[in-house]
Amino acid sequence: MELKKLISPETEKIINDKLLELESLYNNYFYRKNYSKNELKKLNNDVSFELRQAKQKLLRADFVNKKAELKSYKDKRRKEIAENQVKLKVDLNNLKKEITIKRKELDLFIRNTYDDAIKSRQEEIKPLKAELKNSKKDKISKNKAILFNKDINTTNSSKISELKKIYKEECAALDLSCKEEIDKEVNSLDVSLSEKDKKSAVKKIKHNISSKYSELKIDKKINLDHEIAAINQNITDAKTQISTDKRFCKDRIRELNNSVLSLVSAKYSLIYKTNNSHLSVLDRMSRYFKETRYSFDWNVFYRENKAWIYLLPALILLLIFTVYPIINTIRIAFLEGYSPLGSLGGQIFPIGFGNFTKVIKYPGFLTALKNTMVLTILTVPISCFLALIVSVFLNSITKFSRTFQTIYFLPYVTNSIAIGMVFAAMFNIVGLQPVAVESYTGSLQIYNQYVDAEGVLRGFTAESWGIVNYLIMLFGGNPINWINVGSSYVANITVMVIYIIWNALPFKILILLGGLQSVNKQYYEAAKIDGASKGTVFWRITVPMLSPMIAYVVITGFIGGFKEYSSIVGVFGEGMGPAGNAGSLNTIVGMIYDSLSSDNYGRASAAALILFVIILAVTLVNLYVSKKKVHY
Amino acid sequence: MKVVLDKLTKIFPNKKKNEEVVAVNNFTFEIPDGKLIGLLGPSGCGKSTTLYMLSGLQKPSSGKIYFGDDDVTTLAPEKRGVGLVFQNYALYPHMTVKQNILFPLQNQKVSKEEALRRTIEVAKLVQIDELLDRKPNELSGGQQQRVAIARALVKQPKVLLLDEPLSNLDARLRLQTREEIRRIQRETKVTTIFVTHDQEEAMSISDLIVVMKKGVVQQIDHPQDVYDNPKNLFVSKFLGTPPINVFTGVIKDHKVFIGNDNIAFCDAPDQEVYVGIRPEGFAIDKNGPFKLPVKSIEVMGRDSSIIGERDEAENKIVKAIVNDLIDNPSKVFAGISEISLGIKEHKIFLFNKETEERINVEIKTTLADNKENKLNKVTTKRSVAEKSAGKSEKKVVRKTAKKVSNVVKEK
Repeated sequence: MELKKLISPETEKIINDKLLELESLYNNYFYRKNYSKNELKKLNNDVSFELRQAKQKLLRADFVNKKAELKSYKDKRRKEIAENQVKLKVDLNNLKKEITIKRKELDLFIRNTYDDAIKSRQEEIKPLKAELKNSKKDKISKNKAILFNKDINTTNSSKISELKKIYKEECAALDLSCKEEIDKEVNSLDVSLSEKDKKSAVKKIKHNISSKYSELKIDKKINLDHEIAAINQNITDAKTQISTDKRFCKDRIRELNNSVLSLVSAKYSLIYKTNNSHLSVLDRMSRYFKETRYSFDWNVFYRENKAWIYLLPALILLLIFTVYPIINTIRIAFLEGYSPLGSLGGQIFPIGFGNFTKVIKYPGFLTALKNTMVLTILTVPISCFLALIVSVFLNSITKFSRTFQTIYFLPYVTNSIAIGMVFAAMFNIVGLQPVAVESYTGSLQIYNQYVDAEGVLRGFTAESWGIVNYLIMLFGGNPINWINVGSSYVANITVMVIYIIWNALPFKILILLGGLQSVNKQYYEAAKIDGASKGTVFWRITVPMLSPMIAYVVITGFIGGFKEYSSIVGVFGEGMGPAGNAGSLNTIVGMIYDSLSSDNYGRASAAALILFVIILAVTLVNLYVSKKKVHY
Repeated sequence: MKVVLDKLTKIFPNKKKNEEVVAVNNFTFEIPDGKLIGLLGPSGCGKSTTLYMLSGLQKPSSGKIYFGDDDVTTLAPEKRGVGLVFQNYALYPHMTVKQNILFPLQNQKVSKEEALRRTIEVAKLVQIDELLDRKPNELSGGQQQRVAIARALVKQPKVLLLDEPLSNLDARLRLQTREEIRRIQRETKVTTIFVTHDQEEAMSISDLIVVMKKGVVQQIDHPQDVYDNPKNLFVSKFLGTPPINVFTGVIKDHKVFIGNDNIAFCDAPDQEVYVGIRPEGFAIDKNGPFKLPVKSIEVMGRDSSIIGERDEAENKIVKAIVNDLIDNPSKVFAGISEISLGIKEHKIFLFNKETEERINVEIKTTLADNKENKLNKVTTKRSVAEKSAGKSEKKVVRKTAKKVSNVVKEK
């Protein structure tokens, strides 16, 4: 169906020419307006520049002369500019009038031509649409007759049942004839044969004849199946034909409608161009949306905004439960003396940095900060390096690679508290007792002897020293007090470092192993031919090719390291430190939780903000370094 | 450095199907020093496998490789002194061109000044000296390939191996680059072996061509000899564009018949044969024996060809490039339904129908200007492969040649 071209190229040309005229007029107007604004400024700048140059280069007497010169020049120019501006205003007013007249003319012209075109197009389309619908009805009716006409349908199914009956009858007939033949043959056998021979002969006869008849049966079955399949094929063909016909008509009708819509949108876009080329982008956009609303159509709305509609539920939940709390936290951090009950009751809190000073003065803050830093700086580089080495080895193993991968990945799928309890059990010492060596009468061995302030020799005994200490004692060392009463800070940190590294390895190994397997193996072959040893290959080819993954792993490692809390709870319990020294291993996150539980919302929010700033700074440093060193 | 391959075999075991794939089957060849050798064949014929065995990245199942006089079969690739240019160039993307070329020298622990000097030398040889500070992803395909060649050459290898060097380039650049490869090889005089499936490329630049099919070497010879004297049907079909026309024919009473046309005379015994006639082997001759119903005429600028149909031909289509057409196009125009063609002696080959081996006999045709061309004589001249095969076989060749020439003389 070919539709007429309703707007001739000549009218289009006229419209375009007029638009260009208008645009040039606008540009002229604005250029002259802006130019005039800057003339005074430019004058001042020039003069001051000249003065500075003169000051540097000329002698004092010459400089004074130059200054007077420039001043007189400046006054002259100012007068000129003032005169020009008066003239300019008159010119600009005239221009404005011209522009408005031309704009209105063009607007009317466009509306007239396009309205006519739209009407004629709509009238053109009506009969075509009606035609399409009728033809659709005709086409579909035939095929529906095939499907739903009861007479034909019954004949279809009855045909099938008839065919099956016929098949059964023929099979029965074949069986009968088979039996008859067998009997004939059996009777025609020699009576003189012995029983054995008879039996074998009878068997042979039966076998031969029945196989022959079974072949015939199979042929008939195949024919039957073919015929049934043909009948079914007709039905499916009719069904598909109906759907294609429907779709065809739908598409054609939609095309016709679109032809009208295109004219409408062309009209409005031209109108908005004529009237709005002097506005800023934002103004234009707002006017465009108001003017070009043809009519509100749910289908159109859905089609054009499908993506946002599908995203809306998740977006709403995110906004409520993630974005709003973050903004609220930042708000609370700057409200001194905040309490939620007070805010509900309408109390207004003063804005200030009071919460931050509270955080810094809080006695546990320094220890928390120190612990966080120590843990992060110790664990992240070591775990990244270990993960790299482990993944390289895993990549080069061919046998049992899957089992090793599973073993290394186990910590990731285990609960951190549960792991912590196991670690605590490994490092725990049961029944630790300080004793004076001389007066000790028990059977347990005394270790870690020292002389106390009064000069008495003391040591430690315990019922069970724990697995790790037993290992140390096996190699001839003294047991260490890891996490019990009186254990040193260093020992505690060592336990935590081991735990955190072991916990953080699997994720890093996963990422690095994936990256390793994506490296093109030809690079390794080329390196072999170039005579590179394994170390050279590792440092100069594998690591640079892996550098994006390594950067990712380091950055996420740092971010995770600053948030350590549950690992310490896992090993030491809620006391955040060995018994008797509670809170010595607290981290910033732990401090935030403590503040929350003691209703110090302001302090918690401020501490959270401080943590955010620290992590942001570290991440920015990491990104800067990775930009320089990472090869993509 | 001459390279000797001694019964080189590579078998890939296949556990699931219990079938083994024989990639290279008993490849024996002595490569002379300083020559450019082309390994030519269709996909899957074992040429890349041979190349990788030469470089050391794959181990042969049996057989030996010698570089000069040293047995190199079990030596690791980094110690062989081989330069390999991959099909995808395999340039290290995180290093600049200069660092890419320096890499092999740094592994050989050459002093920095010496290494720099060598890189600049090689860069000039290969004409990339202005691109030394760029990274590989900032270079075009041809430039990347030259960097790969430079990287292979800078360590002064004993053998230079090129794996399908021109397959990633566009058509015009291919012509340029293959001349570049020729020029570089002549200047450096390194023994070079390259692998290709493009017979034009192999014919134009190599000193020797090795034609392979399914792991078995078909023929080793100078390019023009492989073209003019193919050993079997596969070699004749593989070389030559447009490809050779193959007919099923019969030899009866020392006459070669295609259908009912007696196109040539030869001294072979009566048998069914494949007759191969190169497209340029036809000439318009009123009294010519070969009748061809014309289907169309194809003009390709450089030459024009007649396309006809005959039942005895493979795919029933026959293509004939006839020189007269260019000068006298009116000879074969509108409305001619059948044309008689004569056949040149040296462009017709006879192949045994079962073994597809070439029947080595002298063929004579009735075409007038046959006097100049005598390339289709019996090969008393020993080919390169036979030279390297051993002395015992030489006598056999001489004897058969003498017998046939005696037979011809009697007639």
